[in-house]
Amino acid sequence: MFERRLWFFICGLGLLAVLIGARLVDIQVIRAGQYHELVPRITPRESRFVRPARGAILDRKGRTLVSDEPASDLTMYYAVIERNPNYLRTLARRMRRSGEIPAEVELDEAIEMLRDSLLQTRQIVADAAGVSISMLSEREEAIVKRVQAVKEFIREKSPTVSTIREESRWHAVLEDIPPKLAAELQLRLGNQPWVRVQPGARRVRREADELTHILGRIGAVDDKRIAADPLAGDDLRELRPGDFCGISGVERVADTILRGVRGRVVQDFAQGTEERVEPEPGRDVMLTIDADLQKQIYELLAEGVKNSLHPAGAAAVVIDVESRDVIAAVTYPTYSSAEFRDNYDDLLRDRIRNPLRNRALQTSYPPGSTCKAIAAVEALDAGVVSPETRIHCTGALLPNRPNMFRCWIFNQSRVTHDDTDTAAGQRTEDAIRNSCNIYFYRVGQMLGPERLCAGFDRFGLGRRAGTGLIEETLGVVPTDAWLQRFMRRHAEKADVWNWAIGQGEVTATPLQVANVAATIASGVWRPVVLVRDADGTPIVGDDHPADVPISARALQPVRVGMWRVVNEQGGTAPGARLSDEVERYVMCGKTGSAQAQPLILNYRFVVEHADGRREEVVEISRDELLKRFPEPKPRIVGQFANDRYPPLGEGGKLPAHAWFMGYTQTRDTPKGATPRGRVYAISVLIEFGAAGGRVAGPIAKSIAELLLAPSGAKG
Amino acid sequence: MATRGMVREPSAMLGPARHGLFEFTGLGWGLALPVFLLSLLGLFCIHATDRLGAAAGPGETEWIFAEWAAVLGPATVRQLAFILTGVGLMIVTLLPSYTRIGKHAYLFYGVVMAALVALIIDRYVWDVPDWLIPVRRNTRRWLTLGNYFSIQPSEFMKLGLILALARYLRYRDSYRTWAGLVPPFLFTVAPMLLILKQPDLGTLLMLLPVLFCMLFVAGARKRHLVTVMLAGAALLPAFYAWGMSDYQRDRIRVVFMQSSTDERWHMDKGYQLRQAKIALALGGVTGEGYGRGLFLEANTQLLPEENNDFIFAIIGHQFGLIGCLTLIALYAVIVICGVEIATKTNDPFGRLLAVGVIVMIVLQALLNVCENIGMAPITGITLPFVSAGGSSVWANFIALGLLVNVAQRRPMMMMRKPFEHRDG
Repeated sequence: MFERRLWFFICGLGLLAVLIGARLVDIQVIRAGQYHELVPRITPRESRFVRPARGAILDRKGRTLVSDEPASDLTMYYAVIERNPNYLRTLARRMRRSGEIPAEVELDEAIEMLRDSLLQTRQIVADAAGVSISMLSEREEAIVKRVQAVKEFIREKSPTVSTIREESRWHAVLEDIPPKLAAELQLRLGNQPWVRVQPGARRVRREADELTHILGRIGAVDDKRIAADPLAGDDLRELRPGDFCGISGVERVADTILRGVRGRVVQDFAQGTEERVEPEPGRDVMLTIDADLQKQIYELLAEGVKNSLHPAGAAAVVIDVESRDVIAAVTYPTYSSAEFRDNYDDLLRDRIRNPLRNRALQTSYPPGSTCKAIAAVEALDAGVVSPETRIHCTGALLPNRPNMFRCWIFNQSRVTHDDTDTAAGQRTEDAIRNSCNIYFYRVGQMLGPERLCAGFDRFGLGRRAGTGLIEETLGVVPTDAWLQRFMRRHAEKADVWNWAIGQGEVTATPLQVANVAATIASGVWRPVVLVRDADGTPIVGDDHPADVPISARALQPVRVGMWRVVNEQGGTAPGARLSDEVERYVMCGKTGSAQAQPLILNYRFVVEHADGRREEVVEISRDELLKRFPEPKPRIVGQFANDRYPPLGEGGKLPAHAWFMGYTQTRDTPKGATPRGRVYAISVLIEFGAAGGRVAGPIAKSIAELLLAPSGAKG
Repeated sequence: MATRGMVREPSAMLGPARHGLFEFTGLGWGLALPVFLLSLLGLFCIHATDRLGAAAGPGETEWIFAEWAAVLGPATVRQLAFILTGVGLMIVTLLPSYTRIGKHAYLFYGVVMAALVALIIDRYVWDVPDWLIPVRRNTRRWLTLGNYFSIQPSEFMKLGLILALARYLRYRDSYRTWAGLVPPFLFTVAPMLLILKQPDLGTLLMLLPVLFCMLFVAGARKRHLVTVMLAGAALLPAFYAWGMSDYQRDRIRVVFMQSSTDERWHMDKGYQLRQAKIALALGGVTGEGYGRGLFLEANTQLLPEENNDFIFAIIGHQFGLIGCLTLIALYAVIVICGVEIATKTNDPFGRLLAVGVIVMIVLQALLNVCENIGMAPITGITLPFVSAGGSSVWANFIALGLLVNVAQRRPMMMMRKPFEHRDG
């Protein structure tokens, strides 16, 4: 029985052996070719990417504003950083085999040679970096620590892994070496196999502080940015951890173009070959902005703010109406990169000047009387008034409430436009010229809130202007939905009066207002262009808005009125009249003095500590307040506006922002017709500048002269 | 039961024949030659794969053989040391008669069990210092003395089980009944449960075949064995669903997903197996030659565990189909010699011992090969005498010693009858 069973057992084993043999024949002979095909997939390759240079940002005339300048990293092989004792031996053996070290040299001798030259390398690197050897060692230890942490993490998941990729990589021990030093190091260390000077780049911005906000910044990518990357999946272009990408401004808008295509170096250890694909540098993009003009306008604004009663900030936007290129988008004040780096907190706390804000498009203001042009177009288009309809200026809208809803002229000098201009009452173009509040209160009432808001919307308020910048603020068109959502109410009768003269909830950015002027000039609302690629194709962001045509019939009287505002005796903006230097051109415009709440500079907070003690603290915001206290954070039980700027006038009179919006046309353009010649739309805002005609108008005039003067900057 | 006292062991009656230590040159070459060749092949292959970083373990740099290691490679020197000490252990095993060793079978089994229990204690009861029981790769398989010495009790459990089962089964026939099958199963299942908690699936799964084969040749009823196996097979899905951890399930899936077109699977869970098969396929019929071929000349390790669980693929890579079949033939020689020893011995303990040892060696070998070619899940079984490793080398050499011991001390009655000449 025993022997029979043993036979049985042996037969079983034999059967298994035959099966194994068959399977071996299958793998090694029959289907061997199939497995051979897989070899390229598994061949050990060290593949590394070479970072491309980021494209430059140029201005309209091709001047470089931001570009990548070469700066290299000095990298070392990980085994050297780790001081792996076997590495030198392996290396020595390999070098002897390949003949780099003569075969006569004993292995031990060769190792000693390599060790000496490694010591020398460290000395050279330390000297070059201006650090001590021990500091260099510390850096190396930090790299080892990081890699080992990664390894621990990986081995916890898959315990059979014995070496991880990071261990056969090159790690930067010195970063951002200037080109000259890099060349020197390359020369001195080039023959040593464990160091490499890997070329890299540093983003350098020319002195263009006036463009700081527009240009934006680059920053290290995080998971969120990688997840939102439109080029994800393209392994040569997608964002990877450790990359930098545009995080604000044009750097962000044009990121995918500026980024470029990675190069790749693939080392095939099996074949001993190195395959190299050079990186393709990112393409340049062009701002539509003229950097010189931007600078000149910045100086004009600086002057304007200095002369203002309550100096704060200012903004001006110039749009080429034909192409909708933004030729200038200036915000005042701005800041330098050095300030941003070193004194960020000061910038943050400067609540009056608030240099971190891009006032041209990031802050929305009540548009004031500039809005009247929109109300007029909308009223004519809707047919609630005709160009000839005459409405009397009564000084105050409501006979029984003479202190409310008054015309500005009645406020100033107790007269009405009926007294000063025409007793027959004003037509649309007269009302625009006079900026009569009463006319527009009535027009607003006739239009009703819905129709008025539709008008605001058609002129681009509450909508992206089209630059693609994430900084763009939409402003507010107080539709019923908006009111319900943010104010929890419906429109009341008086709302529409206010909105028609650009007060109350409605707000707009200087960029939007400039585009309103461009829309009036051209008869169509169109998104603006800020960035173009090398071919001149506009680069736009997501949700790029579409064109909105405006009825030409309705625009005609408004254009006439805007011409009269500037060029007629008694208009509200005589200061914007162009001088004889640019005799071929005239300015048409609309002023605005938009009442606004003063800035709240800081708050008086009442905080209650855990032990019940209460304390009053003055701080600029809740976040900053809570930063002051250690855990446990106190409870905020009260918050009051503390300092305001500017202080309220007598009788609680609100301060006003000075606005001007307008466009240029040739002198021979027929009245009310589409402007001819070089048509630029301009908006100027001086925060708390009070009178639009007196303060903002002259600045707009200077800007137009810069644009149109034979010697001046031309787009 | 009363008869048990009456039956006396033949060794006690006759005393085993003493042929002296060197007698095994006459009989044992059949075993010694294949084992010598396998060990040599293992050493050479380990040396071929011994490259920077491949087998660098903790504390390697302060090793006493550092000088040699620098020349031959650390893993090679290690393996050489284990083989030499393993041969020493084998000779020690040869010195006393296997019957005397058999008397201490339960003691040996008990000691190994105690070691296994100690590993479990570290996990569940209290924390034993790390220099005694380290946690490596999230498992507790080793008893160590710092970095100087480490031993894997589960490898010795195979031996312990063979000894204990042989001892238990030698004169009984109770295992021909259902109830009588319970004790041998308990012998097997108890250490399996302990090893399951280490966890060390490969060793664990080796114990059951040893039990079944020993019961089978000892004459257990086929229908009992078949019933138990069917019941076990029926329980497998449940074990797969609840008794395994994710990574163990993945390893089983690897076998069934070999032809998957999902490249991610092959780059992740199926990586080892596909690499092994590519290594074998590149070897073709005649192989790439010693130390040659992509898997050995590449700068990085392409095949994880290439000097251990997957050394077979490396052998096939270098020596091709011919090498693989030769390797299997070497194991076949061991089996044939072992079976001959088992048949020629009529001491029941010796027979069972011989069968157990053969089963252990050959099944490990075949299962390891199966893992390399995708015929069995990858559980971490080593190729006996070839794979790098300490405890497994020692355990295999001791097992070999037991086998030779049985051969050497063949009872008198098996000798050729005197004076019976053929030509007469």
